[in-house]
Amino acid sequence: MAGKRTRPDVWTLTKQDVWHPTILWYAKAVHEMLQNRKLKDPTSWRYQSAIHEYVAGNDPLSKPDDELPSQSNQKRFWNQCQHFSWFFLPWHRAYLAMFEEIVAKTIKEMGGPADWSLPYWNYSNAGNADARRLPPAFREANMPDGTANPLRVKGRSSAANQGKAFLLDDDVTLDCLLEPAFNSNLFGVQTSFAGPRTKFNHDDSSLGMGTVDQAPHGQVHGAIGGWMGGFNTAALDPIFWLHHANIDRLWSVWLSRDASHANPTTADFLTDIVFEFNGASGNVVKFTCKQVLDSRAMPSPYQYQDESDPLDTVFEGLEERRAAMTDRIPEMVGATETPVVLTGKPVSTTMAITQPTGPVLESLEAGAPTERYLNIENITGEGEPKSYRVYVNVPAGDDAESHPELLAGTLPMFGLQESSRASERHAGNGLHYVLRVGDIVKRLQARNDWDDAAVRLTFVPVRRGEEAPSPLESNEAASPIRVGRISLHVA
Amino acid sequence: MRAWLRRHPEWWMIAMSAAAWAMLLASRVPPHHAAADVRMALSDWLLMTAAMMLPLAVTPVRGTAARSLWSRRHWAIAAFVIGYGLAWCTAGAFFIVAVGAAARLIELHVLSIVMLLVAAAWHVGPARRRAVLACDRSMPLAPSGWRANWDCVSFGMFFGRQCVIRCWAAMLAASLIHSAAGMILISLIGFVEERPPSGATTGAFAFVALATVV
Repeated sequence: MAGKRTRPDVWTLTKQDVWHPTILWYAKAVHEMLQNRKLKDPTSWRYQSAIHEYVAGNDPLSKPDDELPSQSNQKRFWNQCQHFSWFFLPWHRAYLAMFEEIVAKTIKEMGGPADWSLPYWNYSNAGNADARRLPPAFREANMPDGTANPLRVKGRSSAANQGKAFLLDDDVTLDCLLEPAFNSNLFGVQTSFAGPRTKFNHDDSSLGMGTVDQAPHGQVHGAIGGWMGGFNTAALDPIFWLHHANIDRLWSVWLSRDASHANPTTADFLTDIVFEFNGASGNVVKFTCKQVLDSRAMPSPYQYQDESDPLDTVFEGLEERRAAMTDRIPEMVGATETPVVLTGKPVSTTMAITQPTGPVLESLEAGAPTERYLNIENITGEGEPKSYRVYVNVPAGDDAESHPELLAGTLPMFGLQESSRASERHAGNGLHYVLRVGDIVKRLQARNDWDDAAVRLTFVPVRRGEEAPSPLESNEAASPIRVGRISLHVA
Repeated sequence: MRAWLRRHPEWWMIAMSAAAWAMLLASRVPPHHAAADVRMALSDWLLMTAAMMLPLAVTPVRGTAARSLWSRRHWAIAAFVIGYGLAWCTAGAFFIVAVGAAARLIELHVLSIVMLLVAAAWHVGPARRRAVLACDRSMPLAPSGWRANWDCVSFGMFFGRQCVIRCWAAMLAASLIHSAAGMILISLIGFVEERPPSGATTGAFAFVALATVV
């Protein structure tokens, strides 16, 4: 493909025309790939989704006459999505590139433009009052010609499909851009932008994930709900691809917002792992991370309409955070003794902590600043439960939500069910989140509310407006979420 | 050096593996398999396990250390290794009796070829694939007290059990072929195929190739 393409902002297109040609042709291509191509065709909608993950017994579009690809084809190309890993961003970039090539070819064959590019959905755009709404073309019942709209998916949250500004601050936060390092190294006990250093990793969720994987990525998946709420159905929803284009865009934004932000340079990231996909002609296309580091230098180069820094501020804590990532060996200073069970209501737990005794103590004695990380480990459960906010040391009797300054972070439940079940695709660890709490601890220390011997944590379910509980939400008490352990690490 | 040792608290487990390799390679006495010499056979089996299987436990051991209080990192590793060893010890006792019985019916040389072919078939099977994934399992560990030690032993036993399911055929074949080069090759197969994204056919072919030269 010649020339560099520009992936447009879907809301910019929508302001011009709800059914802007780029969106309308996308809808037509979705219809063609979904209705007229068989599951075993690598250019079909369902095959493209299965690359992310496919579970035969949980395919909402399964038909009695489905013909699956050969076992070897499935092993090679399906169930490949990379999460909880530093490959999260590069794998999804390659995935999007191949998908975009297939859709563009489909559109061209249908008589559409030859230069179609995948739009992105910038729900974090503070300058757009509609940014947190699902673009109307993705919720209208019919296309302009009166036929059913393939971009609308019924099972999404009702607020999303009703056109409400349903995304919360937790969902669209750009705190991920303040992470100093692309990846974390030591068993995910520290935070990072993209995720922990791993091997090829479709299955292991025990190392935590990058902050961009957590939010906005996981949060937006969970907020939209329905197919978007599970690994094995997410890519069936046409909004998935616009959501991931935005996550891909944030990688470019993160890289350019600070001179010290950089991709890993070791061979185990750049070249050791080869990702395989099918191109628009059914040909096998192989990618290493090295080939996708710069979107402008890929085989089909592209850029985004807006890659400017949305935070537009100098972050003064960056050096401190970087020092904690590069120089230190983190120490665990405390953990809960028993699991915490979340049942859809606020729950608090207290864990004993000790003072560091190893290298962190030496850093403290040398006067170096420290960083603290809360690890929420082995979160398991069923269904599609709501997210939980985690607060640190909320005064007894107070409503946690009246203390936003004590909010450590929000735990999305995207992929909870799949990651909780041991199978041929997942180890069964459940989800694992790492929350940076150094600033909260400093705040608590400044007002003498920090206890060096104990930390109190409060989990509060995220309520989304006045929406009636979904059947899944009302089942939460029957299918509670279990947090295996919470631990505090200092670096 | 001190910083490296702090970053790699599993160093002594690797040293144990290296020592076991040295003993295996230096040994001129062929391994014991007969049920009549169970004690010697079990000791050989554990030596082989320490040499070939401890390196496969580096990742969970490092994770266990990172998720333990600094003051008890090495205790946590030791407890994990005990659990891991118990799983292999139990499996070893069973295998020694089974091989002893089989050796009365089949010549050991033929049995070793059969085991290599079984290892090849097992390498590409779904049970092994599930066990490989289960090796990525993590478990909540209590932070201190006897429960912390027990949790680490339990985690080691769980990981050991999955490792037995994953590697039993390869280990049995290695114990039968009486060749240091064969054991090294089988260990390498285990590492190369540690995390197969799309099948383990390379490893299976390597076992078949080894069977043809034994």
